[in-house]
Amino acid sequence: METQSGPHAAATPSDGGFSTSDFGFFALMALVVVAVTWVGVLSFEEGMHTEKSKRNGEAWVAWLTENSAKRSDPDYPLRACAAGLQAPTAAQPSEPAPEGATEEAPKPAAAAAPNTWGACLAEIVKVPAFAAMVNPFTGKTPELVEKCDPADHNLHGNIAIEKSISNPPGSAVPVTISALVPGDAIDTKLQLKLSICDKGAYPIKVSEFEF
Amino acid sequence: MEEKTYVSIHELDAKSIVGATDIEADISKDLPLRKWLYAWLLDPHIEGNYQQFIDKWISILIVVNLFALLFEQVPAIFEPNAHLFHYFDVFSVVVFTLEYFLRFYVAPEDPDFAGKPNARTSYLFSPFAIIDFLAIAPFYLKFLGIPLDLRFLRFLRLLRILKLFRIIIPAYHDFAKANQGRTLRQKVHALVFPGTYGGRLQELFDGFIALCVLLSVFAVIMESVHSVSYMLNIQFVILDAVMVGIFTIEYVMRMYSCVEEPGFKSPIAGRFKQGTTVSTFIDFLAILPFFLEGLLHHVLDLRFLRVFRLTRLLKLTRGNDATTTLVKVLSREWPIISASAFIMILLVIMTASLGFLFEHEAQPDKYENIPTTIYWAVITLASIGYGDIYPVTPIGRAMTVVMAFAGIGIFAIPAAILASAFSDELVKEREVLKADLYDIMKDGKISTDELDFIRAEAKRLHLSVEEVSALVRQIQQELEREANFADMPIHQIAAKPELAAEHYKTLLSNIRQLGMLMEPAEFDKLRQKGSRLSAEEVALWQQIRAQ
Repeated sequence: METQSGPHAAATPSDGGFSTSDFGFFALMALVVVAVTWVGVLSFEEGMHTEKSKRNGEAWVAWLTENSAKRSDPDYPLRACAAGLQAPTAAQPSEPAPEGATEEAPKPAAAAAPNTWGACLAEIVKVPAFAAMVNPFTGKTPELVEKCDPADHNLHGNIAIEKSISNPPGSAVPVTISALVPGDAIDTKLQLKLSICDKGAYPIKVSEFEF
Repeated sequence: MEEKTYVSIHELDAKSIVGATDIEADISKDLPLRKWLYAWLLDPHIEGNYQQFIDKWISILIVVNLFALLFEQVPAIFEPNAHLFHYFDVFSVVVFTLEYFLRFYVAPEDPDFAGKPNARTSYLFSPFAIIDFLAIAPFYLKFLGIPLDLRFLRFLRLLRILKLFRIIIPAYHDFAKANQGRTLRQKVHALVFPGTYGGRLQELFDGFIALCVLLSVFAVIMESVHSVSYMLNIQFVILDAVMVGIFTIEYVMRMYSCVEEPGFKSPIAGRFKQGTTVSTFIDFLAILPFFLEGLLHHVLDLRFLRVFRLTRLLKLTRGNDATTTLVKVLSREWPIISASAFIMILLVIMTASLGFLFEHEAQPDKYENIPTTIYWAVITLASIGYGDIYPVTPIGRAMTVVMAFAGIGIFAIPAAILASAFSDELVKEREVLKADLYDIMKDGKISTDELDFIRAEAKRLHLSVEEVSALVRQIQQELEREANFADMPIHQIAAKPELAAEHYKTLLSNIRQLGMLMEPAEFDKLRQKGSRLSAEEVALWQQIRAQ
């Protein structure tokens, strides 16, 4: 711990002026203030990017929640996203992605099997609100990735949607969360979890909702 | 330098040493109401009145007001709790208004305004009164229905923070007076290191840093709550940058001025030594993650460094010396603690091995191998017993019973050693204080510097008024006994050369007195008659008498 300042500490009289070391101290203080401000501004900008990404995620959640009820209507315009109309043909039950696996982000146009997430996504991304969306970290349209992975910094600002499946009663883990892949059937209601990837590509949960 | 003042040991008051607050103010009940109110509530020169108490709580209210104003900017916090914010605002304004009118009423008693033709008018136009007025005026303007821009109102409310100047400015004046003629480095030193030149401003500085530490640690803890960090992420980023700015400036000030500390005089070696002290290293750890993460997060995943922000809490240990005592106790008791740790490790390995031996066949999934069984052994021996793994075979259970009994004893040893070592250390430090007190008090007077030292030590050792009082009384008695050392046991006299010399002189004087008072012829006759005195004793007697 600190040595206490003794009562007999020497006090050299001063004429009130500043010495060279005092000017050095002022320079160091100025440098410190500049450094803290600079790093602070950097952190603030990154924080603002994260905030904008959250707003993107919230816009996705709002749209998906709003369309959750509507998509059961017979005249729902986005036919690929409609529920309860047609059984999936090409849909295969997806397995949770193995730990550490780096799969390609779902390509909406490539997975066009009807009533699957892939087909639905291909239509959703055409909605003007999403087409105009910008990933603040990259300046491009945010991509939908299977999961945020801190090992891949390029994922920052992207959006990850996962599905949550209830396990049978008595299971140690009540729900299993796995990536929503293009082949997943969406003809029935799905419990989804939407996250955005922050500056370090760590996930920030935006919301859990029904679609 | 100020001239030294002294206190007699007989006037030494344990309450004033410990800083006990139950000193009763000496204020006459017969005073006129205005004078009486000023004396009890606002006079800073009367010990034991409520002035410090009021100042403290007004300061706290101002700081809380500042936070309330900040939180009002966060819709997620403000909107659901708007009514609470309003009630708090009303409460604050009521308190500030009471304070304003009280000061207005008692202005003629205040020495700052008492000599002026119209004391109350002088008070109204004094800088502090204008600040006080600005702190409450916006509320009444709103209350009177005068339309004002909300942002302007908030700005006016922000002026409440200026009320703190009522405490800071007098403290600054005292500081400037105490440090007159000293160099900038000495002034910086007085501000950041506790000592005789810092005064109230140093206490305020310490309090401000402690507030920043608590706020910063609270923010780090709340950041781990998803719902809070989701709402206030950007506010946390700003807060962290501001706090790191403050801590970095404090760190630089400390490193710059540490050469004024005894033992740290050399410009480079002294600063290096200061940088490697536990407390300064903690200061460094408190700011490092911010810069590393801010600059390198694109290259490296440094999120784990965030946990080091919690080391800021250790900054609070600077004032109470607890860390030093802990380190001292650990290093002193290290051989015993390491021996008991060794026995603990042996016991854990033995329990795990026996557990594996007896249970592996019955429960291969739980007692899979010795390393995995170590978890069960530790949980059992430390009496935690989660119950997720437990023995099922009779021999395994019997072994667990024996090992659990052994564990209770072995695991308790380090705790007992530390507790006893802490207690010993305190006793030792009190003995050292007693010896210091003895040295200080033996000349019968105590300088203000010495009084400051006694006060600091009593505070550091958490001595109560009764303990200090008993210590002072004991030393006073010892000093009195020393003054009359003839009553002291000879071994105590022999232990102190100055007392032994005095005693020797007294004895010689007694012998001379004896020689003068008795009849020499009778004495000579007596000593020649028998063998009461040896030849050497007689020679010595004659030698002393001759002188």
